[in-house]
Amino acid sequence: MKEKKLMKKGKRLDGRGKEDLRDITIEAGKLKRADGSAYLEWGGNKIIAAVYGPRECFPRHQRSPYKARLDYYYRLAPFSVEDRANPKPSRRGIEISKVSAEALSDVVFLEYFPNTTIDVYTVVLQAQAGTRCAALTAASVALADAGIPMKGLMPSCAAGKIEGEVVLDLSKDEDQCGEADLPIAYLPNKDEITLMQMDGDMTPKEYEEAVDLAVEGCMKVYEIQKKALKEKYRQFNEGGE
Amino acid sequence: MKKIVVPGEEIEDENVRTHVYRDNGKKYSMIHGVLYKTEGYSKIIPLTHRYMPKEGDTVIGIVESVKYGGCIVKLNAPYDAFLETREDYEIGDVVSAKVESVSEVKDIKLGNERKFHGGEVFDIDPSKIKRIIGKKASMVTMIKEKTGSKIFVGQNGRVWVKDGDIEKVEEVMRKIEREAHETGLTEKIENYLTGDK
Amino acid sequence: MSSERLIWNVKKEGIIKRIKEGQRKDGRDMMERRELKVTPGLIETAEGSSMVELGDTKVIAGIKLNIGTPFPDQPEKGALFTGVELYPVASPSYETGPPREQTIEISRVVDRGIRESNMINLEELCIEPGEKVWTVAIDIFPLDQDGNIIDASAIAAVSALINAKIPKYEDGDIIRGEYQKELPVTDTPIASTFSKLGNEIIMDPALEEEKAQDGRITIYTNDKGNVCASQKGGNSSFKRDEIKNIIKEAVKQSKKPRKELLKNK
Repeated sequence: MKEKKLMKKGKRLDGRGKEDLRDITIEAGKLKRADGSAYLEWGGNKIIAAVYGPRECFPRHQRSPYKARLDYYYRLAPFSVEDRANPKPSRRGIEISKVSAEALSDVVFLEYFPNTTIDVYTVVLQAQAGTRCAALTAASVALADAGIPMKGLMPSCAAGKIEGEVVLDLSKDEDQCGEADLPIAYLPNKDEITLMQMDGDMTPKEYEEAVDLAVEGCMKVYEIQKKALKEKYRQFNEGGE
Repeated sequence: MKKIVVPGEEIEDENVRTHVYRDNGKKYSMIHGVLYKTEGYSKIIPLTHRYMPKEGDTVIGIVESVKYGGCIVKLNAPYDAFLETREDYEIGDVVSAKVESVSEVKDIKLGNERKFHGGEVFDIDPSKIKRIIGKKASMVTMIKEKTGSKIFVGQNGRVWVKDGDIEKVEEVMRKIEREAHETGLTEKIENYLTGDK
Repeated sequence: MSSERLIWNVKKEGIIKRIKEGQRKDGRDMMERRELKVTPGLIETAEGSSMVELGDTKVIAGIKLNIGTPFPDQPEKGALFTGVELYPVASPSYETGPPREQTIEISRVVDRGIRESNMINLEELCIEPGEKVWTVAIDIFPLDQDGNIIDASAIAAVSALINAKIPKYEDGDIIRGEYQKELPVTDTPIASTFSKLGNEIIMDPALEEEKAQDGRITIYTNDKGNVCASQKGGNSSFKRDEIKNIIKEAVKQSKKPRKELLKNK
């Protein structure tokens, strides 16, 4: 690991304070063919999410007469990282897809659509740390854009530890040189955590602090998600008839 | 009053009963939709949704395969339907029919069918069907008159059109689909149909 | 059969009938490309990139440069690779999994136009003959398939190459994000695809037209107005007169997009 000073006078290298997110913009409904879609920029991350379904589930043996199956695909475009990514699904990508599908399955009312499948595809076009949270945040907007019933929008955000301090939303340098990263996904109206991973080294107290900070981050992301969905119909005349 | 709501948004209005769920004594929207509120009456209408077959709906389907005693019909829904019939059907035939039953696991049976001869079909967002038909069918009647086309709109969001200006019919319905939530829609569409001719 | 496919079959007759009457859905002429929008440089992690919108069809292409060994028969030339991935964000009929023949055909057609036009001076990509050369990976990712993915992919790839830069290379290490010079580009090959529906021929099919087509021909032309690659696909055959006309139109209709791509250089 390179020696690097990541914090100076309480500020991070990119000028953020400990509890600041990078800039985030989300646009709902960017794609024509998909049933729902979202384009997201989060710091240097650029991500497209597309939802197809509920649609017929193939192969048949994967059908459930009780609920829809939700599949999630996380994919790095080959040019999204410095050293070209192999187009074959990686073990990392498969793991992220699995935990993300599980998080969303808890949030979508799957029981309304027995015997079907809902497919969520995300593509990272440009990666700059925190892609799984960014992809999941976009996916949640795309699901709402597809008209799929859900308990709520599900923001996602990470907290981490750099130079002994708990900070929000690690940048690429911080991710590479920091001491811990803890991504979560969160359902605001139920105050429940739907995804959680962590690597690094934290005291139980730091861990607790990081979870709280990540939840705070999620609440900010949540506001941006809501805005994206309302913006799509901005020509729509709110208020009087 | 009307307002855009997103999934998970708390709905305090007592009168809203559909597209909401309850949790811990509170009520939340489960979809991305529009909350309409008038005196003593409120509802959420989805901005878009997938068609889910309901008993009594009149739908348009396309025959996908012919089986003993009937055929499998595709509906623009996540489920195929079975049409019991003794008539001869071919793959690709377009029919209108009534949804007779929907089982718990979504086995769908159709009846009361009518076969269309010729014409074309296209799918639009089923949540916009009400606007496309209009109050007392005013919108669709106007489109028929201005384009000279025969039109049949299924509740599954599928439209059958024959004769007249078929392209125009699809074009104008796509416009309604996009602008369904704007005010003065009927007037706008009328201008659009007359202005272009 | 999918619901969409059945609808296209029902519509096919009407689409062909209207084309015979000289009408296309979006009001275009028979030999007219949809509006082309090119956004180069969207991806900072790539050495070159471009997003192309052809009507509502959207494709993004990215270029990655790496150090590799040259092919034994071309020890003084850099290497080139083109891959298209039909990932299911773009269409309900695309699937995950290993590439199918359709994907491979598109990749190879795009690759041929780039290679045969000699648009990249591969000799300039040699670092140490027989030992070390730059390898250029062109990765193409359709995002929205609204017809004619071939042309959109080909134009995106060429646009990304035109805007690509070679990273600095010092003491055996690539320094990403710092560049020594532009990729040596010498030509601007443009792909034009034509569909045959019944006996009618149209340029740049939109989705519905593509679904109704019986056959297609793609013609790649270079700066000189010569043909540098072509591909016929689909079950319908073409008359020699039809092919002559297609080539004439391809040459004529490539001028505008070529200008558009060079404008952004």
